[in-house]
Amino acid sequence: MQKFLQHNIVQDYLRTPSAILSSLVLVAIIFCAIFAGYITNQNPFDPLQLDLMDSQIPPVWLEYGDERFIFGTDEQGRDVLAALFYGSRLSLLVGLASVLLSCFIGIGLGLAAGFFRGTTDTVVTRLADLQMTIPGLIVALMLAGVIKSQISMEMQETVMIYVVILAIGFSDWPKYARVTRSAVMIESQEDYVLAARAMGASPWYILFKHVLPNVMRSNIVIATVGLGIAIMLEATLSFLGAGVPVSTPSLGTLIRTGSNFLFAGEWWVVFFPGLMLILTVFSINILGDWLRDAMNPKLD
Amino acid sequence: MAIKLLQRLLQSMLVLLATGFLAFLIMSFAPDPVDNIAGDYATTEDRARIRAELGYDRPFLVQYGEYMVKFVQWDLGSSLRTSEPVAELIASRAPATLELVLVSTIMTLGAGIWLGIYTGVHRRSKRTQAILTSSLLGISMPTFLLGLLAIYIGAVELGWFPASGRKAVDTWMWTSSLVSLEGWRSIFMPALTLSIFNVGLFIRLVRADVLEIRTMDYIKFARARGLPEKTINNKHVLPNAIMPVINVAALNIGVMIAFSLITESVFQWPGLGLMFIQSISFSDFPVMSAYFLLVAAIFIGLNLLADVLLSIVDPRIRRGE
Amino acid sequence: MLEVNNITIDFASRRGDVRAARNVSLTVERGEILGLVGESGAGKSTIGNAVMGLLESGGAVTKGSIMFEGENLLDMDDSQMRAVRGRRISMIMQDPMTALNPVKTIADQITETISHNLGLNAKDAMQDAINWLKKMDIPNPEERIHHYPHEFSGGQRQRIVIAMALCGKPDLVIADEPTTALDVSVQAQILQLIKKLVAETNIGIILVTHNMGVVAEVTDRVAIMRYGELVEIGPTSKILSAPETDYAKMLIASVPPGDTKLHRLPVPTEDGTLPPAQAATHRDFDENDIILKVKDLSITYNPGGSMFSKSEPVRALQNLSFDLPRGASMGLVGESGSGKSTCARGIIGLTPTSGGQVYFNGHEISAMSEKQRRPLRPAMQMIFQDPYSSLNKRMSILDIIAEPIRFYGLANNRTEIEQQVVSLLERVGLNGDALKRFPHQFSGGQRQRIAVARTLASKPELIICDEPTSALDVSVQAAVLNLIKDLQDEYNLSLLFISHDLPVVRQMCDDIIVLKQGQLVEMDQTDRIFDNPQADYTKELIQLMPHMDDFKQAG
Repeated sequence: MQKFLQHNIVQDYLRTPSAILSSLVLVAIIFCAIFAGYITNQNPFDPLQLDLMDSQIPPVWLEYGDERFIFGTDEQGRDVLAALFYGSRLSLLVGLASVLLSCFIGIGLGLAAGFFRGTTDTVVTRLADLQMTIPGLIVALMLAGVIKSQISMEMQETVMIYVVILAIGFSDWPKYARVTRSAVMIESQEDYVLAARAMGASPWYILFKHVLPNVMRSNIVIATVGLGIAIMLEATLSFLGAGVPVSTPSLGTLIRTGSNFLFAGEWWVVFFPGLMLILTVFSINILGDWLRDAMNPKLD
Repeated sequence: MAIKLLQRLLQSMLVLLATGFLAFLIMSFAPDPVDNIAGDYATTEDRARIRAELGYDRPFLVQYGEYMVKFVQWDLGSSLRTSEPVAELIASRAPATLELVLVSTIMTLGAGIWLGIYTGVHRRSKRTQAILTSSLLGISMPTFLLGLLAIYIGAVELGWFPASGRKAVDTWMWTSSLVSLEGWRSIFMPALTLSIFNVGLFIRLVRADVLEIRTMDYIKFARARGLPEKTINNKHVLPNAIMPVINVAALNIGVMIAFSLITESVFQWPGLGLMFIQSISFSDFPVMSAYFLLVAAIFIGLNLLADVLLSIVDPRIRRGE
Repeated sequence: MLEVNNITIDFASRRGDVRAARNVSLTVERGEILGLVGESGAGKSTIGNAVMGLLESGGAVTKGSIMFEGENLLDMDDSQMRAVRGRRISMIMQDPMTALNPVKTIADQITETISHNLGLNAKDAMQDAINWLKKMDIPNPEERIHHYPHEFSGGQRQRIVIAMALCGKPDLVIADEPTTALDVSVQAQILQLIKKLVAETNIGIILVTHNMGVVAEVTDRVAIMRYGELVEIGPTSKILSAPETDYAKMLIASVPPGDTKLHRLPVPTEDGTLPPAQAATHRDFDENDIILKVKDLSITYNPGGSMFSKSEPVRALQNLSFDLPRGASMGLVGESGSGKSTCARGIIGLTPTSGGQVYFNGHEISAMSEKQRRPLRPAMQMIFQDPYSSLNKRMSILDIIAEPIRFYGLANNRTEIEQQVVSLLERVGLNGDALKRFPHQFSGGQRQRIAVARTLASKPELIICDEPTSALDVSVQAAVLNLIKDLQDEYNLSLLFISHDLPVVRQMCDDIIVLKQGQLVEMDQTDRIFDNPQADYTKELIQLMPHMDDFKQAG
C-alpha cells in the first residue's frame, strides 16, 4: 500500500483535483448504473410498472412537480431519473465492450504489423488506411444498417446490442493498430530487444514478454479517450435510429424519443439524459487528458 | 518529388478500388432484383434468362469491375425506394451538404487555428485555461445533442433562427443558401453545431503542435540570437506548425462530411447525410453504397490534396531528403 | 568581462524543487576560452542557460548576480535581456541537426539575425551573411546561402550555427557541447575554427563540455563542476597537470591515456585515495586455442527501395578475417559507418551474414539454424552500448538478470535463481537490495553493471562489448572498464571490444582491427598500432585523438 501511494502516477493523481473530481463523478455514475434496480422505485421499461396517470410530470421543483419523480416523467409515465440510470447502464456497457473489441483487434494487428514487418505490416497498414478513408460514424452506421436489414424484427430486440458493439468496435480499431505498430517499431529498436534476441529468444517470447508490456501505456491513454468516443457514438447511432431498439433504451434512445416532445415544452425528458451523457463523456475526457500528461515519459 | 506524388496517386487509386469493392459488397446484400422482375410465377429457366440478361450470371469480379466503371461514369443505379437514379438524387442533394460543410469548415479552421495558436503561445494564462476547458467540453458533447440545444435556444426560446429545413435560392449553378439572408439564417445553426466538436478537436491539435515546436532547439537558438518573441512566433513557430495542420485539416473535412449526417438529421437539412440516413432505414442499398463510395472518394481526394500542398510548403519534401 | 557571483539556481518541478546549481562563481575575460566541465548532472549547461537568461521553464536564479560589463543581467527585464542576447552574448547549440529551422533558408535565418542585431538593410545584411559563410569555409556561399538546412552536412551545419551565433558581433559566446554530436575528424576542425575566431575577434567563450580532451585542446582556463557546485577553477595547464581537489584528481585520472596501457585505470578506493597508475604487462596467448575464428565475413544490407527506385545494396562489411585466442581481447575500431557494430551483430547472429564463416569453439555457427545454435548461445553473450535502452524498463532487476538463467534453464527453483542473481549483483559491485527495484531507479553506471551481471548469468566464455562505456561519464567509464578487466581475469573471458574511442581501446585490447567503410585498414598488436601505425588512416585517427598527455607529463 505504502509502495502504491508512492508510485509517481498515484502521487500525481492525488495532486490533480480535476482528475480526482472527474473520477469520483464517474464512479458515482457507474454505481448508479449498476445498482439502478435497487436505488430507483420503478423499472421504467417494465410496462406493468408504468401508470399513464403519472405521464408528463415536470421536475419536482417546478409547478405540478411530484415528489416521487425528481426529474419528472415522460409521456408514458416513466420516471426520467430511473430511465436515466437504466439508460446509462446500457451506454456504459456498450461503450466498454466496443472499446475492448477495438483494443483487441487493433493491438493484435498492430503488434503483428510492427513485429513481423514485411507483408503482414503492409496488409495491416493498408487495411487501416482503407478504413481511415471512411469516418468511423459511417462505418458503424453502415454495419449496423446492413445487419439490421438482414435479420428479423424479433431478432433485432436481442441481437441489436451486439451489432452496435461490433459496429463501434470495428469502426475504431485502426487507431490502436497505428499506435501499437509504431510503438512496437520503436521498442524493437531498443537494445533490450536485441539483448533478448542475442540470448536466442524466439519472436513470440520477445513479443509477449518484452514488447507488449511496453506498448500498453500509450494504448491505455487512447482507450480512455476512445471510451468517451464510443459512448458518444452509441448515443448517436441510437439517436439516428440505427442503434439499440427502444425496448432496451440507452441514453441516445431516451434523447431520441424525448426530442419529439422538446417543442411541446417538455425539455426535461431530453435535458437530463443529455446532461448525463455530457457529464459522463466530459469526466472520461478530463481523466484521459490527465492520464496522457501523467504517462508522458518526457515529464517524468 | 514528382515521383513521390505519382506514387501517392497510385496508392490512392488502389485504396479507392478497395473501397469500391466494399461498396459493391454492400450492394450484394440487396434483395435479388431477379425476384422483382420475374414475379412469383416464373420458371427456373425464365429466372436464368432474366439473370443472364441483367448480367448477374457473370463472375463476381467482372460484375465488380463493371460497378467501378459505372461509378467512374457516374452511373450509380436507381434507388430501390423511389426508383430515381441515384446520380440525380446525389446531384440534387449535394449542394446542401457541400455548403453546410464549407461554412462549418471555415468556422472550424478559423476558430480552431486561431485559438489553438493562442493557447499554444500563451501557455498558462487564465484565458487559455478557459479556452482549453471549453474545448474539452466541446469534444465531450455529441453533435446531435448540441443540435437539439441549438434548436431549443435559437428557435424555440429566442425564435431567431428556423428550427429546421433549408432556405435556398436558385442560382446559375445550384440552389444556394449563401446568397440570401433567409438562407444564411437557415444554415447558421446547423453549421455552428457541426463545427463545435471539430473546433474543440482542432484547438487541441494545433496547440499540441505549437507547444511541441516551441520546445525545439531552433526556437531556443532563435531566442539566443536575440530575435523578438513576435518574430520567433511568426517566422519560426508558425511555418513549422502549419504542416501537421494541413494533414489534420484534410482529415477534419472528411470527418465533418460524416458528422454532417447527424446535423442534417437533427435539422432536417436536405443533404446527402439525410439521404443516407433515410436509405439506411429503408435498406435502400444502391443509395447506401453510392454514398459510402462517394464519401470515401472525397476523403481520398482531400488526403491527396493535403500531400500535394505539403510537398509545396515543406522544403524537405520539395527539395528531397 | 563576465562575472558570475555566487549564483544558485532552482527548478520547480512536479516532484518538488530541485537545486541545479549552488553558489557558483566564475569569470570570463575577453579573448579567453573558459572550459566548463563536469559529468552529467553537474549543472554546467544550466549555468550557460542562466547567463543567456534562457533557463528552462520552472528554473530561476534564486541567489547571486551575473555581472556583464558592469551590469547585472539578473536585474534586466525581458526586453533589455533581448537586447543583450545575440548582440552582446550569444550561444552555439549542441546539435546542428536541430538548431536550424528546417523550413527556412540559411539566408533567411542569418539575415534576420543580422538585421535585427546590427540594424542593416536587407542588401547589406545579405552581403554580411555571405561574408560570414566565407569565413566559415562554406564553399560557394553566394549560392549555398539560399539552401535549406537539410541540404548541408552535419559539420557544415555546425559552421552555419557558429556563423549565426557570431553574426550579431557578440562579446561573449556560450558554446554548449558544440562538438559532441560530430565525428572526431569534424570535431577537430570545428575546435580549430573556434580557436581561430577567438584569436581574431577577441571575444570570450564559455565552452561547456564533458570531454577532457576538448578542454585540453582549446581552453585557457577551466572550471570543474559537480552536483551543481564549482569544484575547482584555474588555468587549464595547471588544473590538468596538478589538480588540487580529490574530485578533479579523480576526474582527470579516469580519462584513459592514449599513450600507455595501464593495468587498471585509477579509481578511488573506499577511503577516497587514488591508487597510483601502473603500466600493464604484455599478455601472451596460446595461438592454437582459438575461441572465435572469423573467415572472409561479409555483410550486405538491402536498404529496401520502392516501386520506382531501386536502391543499391550497402556493403557494410567486406571479407573480414581474424582469430581471437581464448582469454584475449580484440578491439574493433572505426568511425561511424565503418561496419564495426555490424560485424559484432553478424557474429552473434543479430544480422544475417552474406558471405564467409564464423567459427565458435570450432563449430561453424554461421551455417547453423537458431535451434542448432541454441546450446552454444550461453557461452557467447553481448553487452550493449546504451544501458538506458538495454534494460527493459518494465522489469525488476531480479527479472532482468534472471532472464537468461530461466531461459537457458540454469537453475532449478526460485530460491536458487535468487541466490545466483544476488551473487551476480555482488560480483558487479551492487548489493542485493537492488533485486526488487526497477532500472529507472539506477544511474547509468549502475545500469551498465546490471547489464554486465545479466551477461555473466549464463557463464559465457566470449563477450562481445559494443561500445559498452560510450554513454557513460568518464569516471563511471573507468570503473566499468576496470570491472570488465577484473571479470576477464577471473573467468578467463575472451572479449570482442567495439569502440570509436581509441584511448579506451588501448586500455582494453591486446589486438586491434581498424575498419573504414566496411574494409580492413590495419590489424596488429595494440602497442604496435598506437606507437607505429602503418596505414595513413590509422595515423590520422591517432593524430586526431584528443591529447591530454602533454599536460599530464608536465605534472
